[in-house]
Amino acid sequence: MSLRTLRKSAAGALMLALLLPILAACGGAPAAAPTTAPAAATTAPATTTEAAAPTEAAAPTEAPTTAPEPITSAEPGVLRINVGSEPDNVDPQLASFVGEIQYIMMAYQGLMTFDQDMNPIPGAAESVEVSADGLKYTFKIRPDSKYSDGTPLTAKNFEYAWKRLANPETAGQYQSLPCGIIKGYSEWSAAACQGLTMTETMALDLPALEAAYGVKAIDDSTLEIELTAPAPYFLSMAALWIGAPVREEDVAKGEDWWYDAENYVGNGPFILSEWDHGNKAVWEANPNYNGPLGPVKLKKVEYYMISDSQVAFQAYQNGELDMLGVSPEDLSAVETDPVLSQEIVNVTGSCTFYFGFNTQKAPFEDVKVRQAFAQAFDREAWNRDIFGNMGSVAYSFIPPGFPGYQPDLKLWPFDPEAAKATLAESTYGSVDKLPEIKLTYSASARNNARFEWVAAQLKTNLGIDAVLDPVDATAYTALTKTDPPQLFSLGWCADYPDPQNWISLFQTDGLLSSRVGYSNPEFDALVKQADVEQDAAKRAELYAQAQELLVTDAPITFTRNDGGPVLVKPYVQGVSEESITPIDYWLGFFNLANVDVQP
Amino acid sequence: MSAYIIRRILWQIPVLLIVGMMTFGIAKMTPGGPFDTEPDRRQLSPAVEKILRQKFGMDLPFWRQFTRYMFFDWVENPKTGEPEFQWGAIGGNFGPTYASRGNRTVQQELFEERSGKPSRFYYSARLGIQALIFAVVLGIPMGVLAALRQNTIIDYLILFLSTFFVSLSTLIVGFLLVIVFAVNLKWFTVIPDWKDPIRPWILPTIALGSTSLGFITRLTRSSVLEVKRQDYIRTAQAKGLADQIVVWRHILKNALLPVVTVLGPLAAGLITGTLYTEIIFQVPGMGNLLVEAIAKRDYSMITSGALIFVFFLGVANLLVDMAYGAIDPRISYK
Repeated sequence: MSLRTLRKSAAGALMLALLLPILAACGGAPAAAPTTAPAAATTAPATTTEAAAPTEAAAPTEAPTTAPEPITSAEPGVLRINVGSEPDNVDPQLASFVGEIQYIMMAYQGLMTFDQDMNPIPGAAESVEVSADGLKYTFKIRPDSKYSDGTPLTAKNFEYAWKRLANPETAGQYQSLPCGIIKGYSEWSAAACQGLTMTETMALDLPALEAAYGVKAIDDSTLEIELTAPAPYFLSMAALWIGAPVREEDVAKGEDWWYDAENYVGNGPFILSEWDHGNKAVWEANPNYNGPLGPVKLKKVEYYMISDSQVAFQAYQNGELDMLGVSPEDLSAVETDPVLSQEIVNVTGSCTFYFGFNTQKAPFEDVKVRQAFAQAFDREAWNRDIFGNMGSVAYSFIPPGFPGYQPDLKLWPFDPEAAKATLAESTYGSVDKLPEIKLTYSASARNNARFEWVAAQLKTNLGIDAVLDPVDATAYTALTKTDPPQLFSLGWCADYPDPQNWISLFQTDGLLSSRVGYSNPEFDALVKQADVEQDAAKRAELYAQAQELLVTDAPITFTRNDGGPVLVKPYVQGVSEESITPIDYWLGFFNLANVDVQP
Repeated sequence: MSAYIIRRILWQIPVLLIVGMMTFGIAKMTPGGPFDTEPDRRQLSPAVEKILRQKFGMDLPFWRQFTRYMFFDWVENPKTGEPEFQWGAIGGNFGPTYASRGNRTVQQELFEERSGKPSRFYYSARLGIQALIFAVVLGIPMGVLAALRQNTIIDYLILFLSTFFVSLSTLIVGFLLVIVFAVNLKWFTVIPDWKDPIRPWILPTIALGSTSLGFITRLTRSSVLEVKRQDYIRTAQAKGLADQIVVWRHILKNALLPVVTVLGPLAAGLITGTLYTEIIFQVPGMGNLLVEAIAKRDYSMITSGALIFVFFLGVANLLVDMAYGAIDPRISYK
């Protein structure tokens, strides 16, 4: 359950503010009161909230006279969570969004999976053997593996899935991920990897390219994958949804084969037993699952698609949901509520947010200007005042908990005096010589308030009058790809837990470096070396050096990592701060064997 | 009469074409495209994006994209390279949705009944019709009652209630209903179970119908008051007709004309999905889908949504005009 799906609508907040007097008249539902806090839009609490506070506080003091009702689950063994919306496509080789992946990973088990420390471990494979040169991976499929309907699962099924991923006709969003890694992938997936048009690709000798592709089932239990160069992160890649073993006979049922629950047959921990589109999806434990996430204690998991966070909050309080994310606006209300505050579990996220400085546009071609801006931003205050200390402050790219996280890499702590000094060292010399600074961001009621705060920071700390430039959300994404603004705000969320997934994006013409026009040959050399280094310690060291260089060059400056409190009912077992990982598809997923719902 | 109906239906065609073209054009001109969502995640590689643009015909000139969507086109089969004839919206094919990566079409998303699960259109239409019936069945009698008992406590009460409903948005009424009836009284659940044929429909129907109810009540009241003062009513009363006959035959029949007029657009709006009600009560209807389509730049879905709305508006207005003929003998169509 991604925090992003739990955003509340400003409209909902407004309406609750209006409702307050009516609620009070209704004879008070203390349960409803905590939802009133978000009326405050984003920054300061509104007067309505303050007005509500006394009544809210009064409720608990009266409560102790009667014994608190024990909180019990609706049905033991059944976990109910809100996923926010209906996924648009859950085909493993096409899907890409969080809300889609959390369907795939329930129904399917890839060759690998992750343990709770985010290390790749064998999943559907029983073991994996890597050749000495790091080029050949031999996966042994667990014996007697079956799909949920009882048909056998063999290495052939994985061969089919990995071929389907590479097949140019598939054209999935993640098709470019294994480019240049698996042998023959780039040649076959010519459109995604080499930029050929579909017509040009179709003119190639596709059967020959398929035959040369480095994924082969040697026998029913052995799958061999050959790489072009050593890639220690390949095991993490093999744990992703892109290699989920879909069956040919299911895919053959039509373009939207995945739309019918009965076609969505996998080898994962759960069976999609009912999919009431736009409303709920019901998962039942798969008795044939033999992977490391099981044996599963839960009988059922129910996904609900409540798009408004206020409604979801009501449902949680009404005992109709067992877990729920908390939006920043709800935070103080949740923390002061005697019941809800006991149900808080803090999670760490998998995203890092940052400000991008377009190094091709003045004044950010000057590294000193970029560094000065990095020093002039009070990250602590940003996270505290705007996000209520949800998540954490970020000084470098890889977030806490992930392999490659460098807690001591804090080159640009907040220091307005130092920032001014750094700016003075730049070719511009002083603030008044800087060109106009335009702060471009994705427009929303919430962001408008946030970026006014950012502009105020720049004014206070550097004396810069930044111009706010809100842009419609979708248009904003397009803008950051095609014509990145001078100064913009963006984030990156992990695909898989390996430094390569973060650091290599800033190689020259990389996915993220191209947005800020960053290019540093020294950095490129380090990353290139690290990507193929087979010695784990040496590899980690190389990435660490590269990250340090990235932070020094400051083409972007990091602000915060996501995360924060979620609510978990006391009868849910196995979902705690220790047992959740930042890459959980829903909280506790990688601790699945221990997750249960008590009576 | 039938000639009139046929003429009216034919008039729909240019209206639909113009609406379709404008919506399609505006959607296409808006910056950002269907592949620009989730900014913090891995974006499509430019090469894959190129393939998808080709697949969806986005690399074609605007007029060709529009005619492909609206009328028909010969679309190249990626496997054989041969062009194949394909109908557009006029042939019932509203095109693939971009959000599903082209795996599903707009008509599937909106109208397809699958595995015993009703279509999104069914949910929106049923909810809309129920809300309309709720509003009309309660609104007209309340309006008449208020007018006949003008300046009594009943009138004030009804006037207060209807003003209350008109002023509050569906959003507020919806939340109010959830909090009172689901959270406090526990008569309903916050999360609906749509397998139940009646229960989950009650609150959304009331929420969606409430604004219309207030509106119809007020309109009926003022209309009845207006008619009540007419000379022919006084004549009818003077010649000794029973009160009931005066009310039913003379007042109501004339007073309903403006009410019927507004029912057309009201019905079209209610049936084609209403965002807030669908969100609050988690109705798997069209409203949410169509609004989300705008943020996702799902061009075919956006345009189809507009076309469907205009189509129902046309049908509803036609029905209203025909109802005029039945209510008011002075009106006849040729």
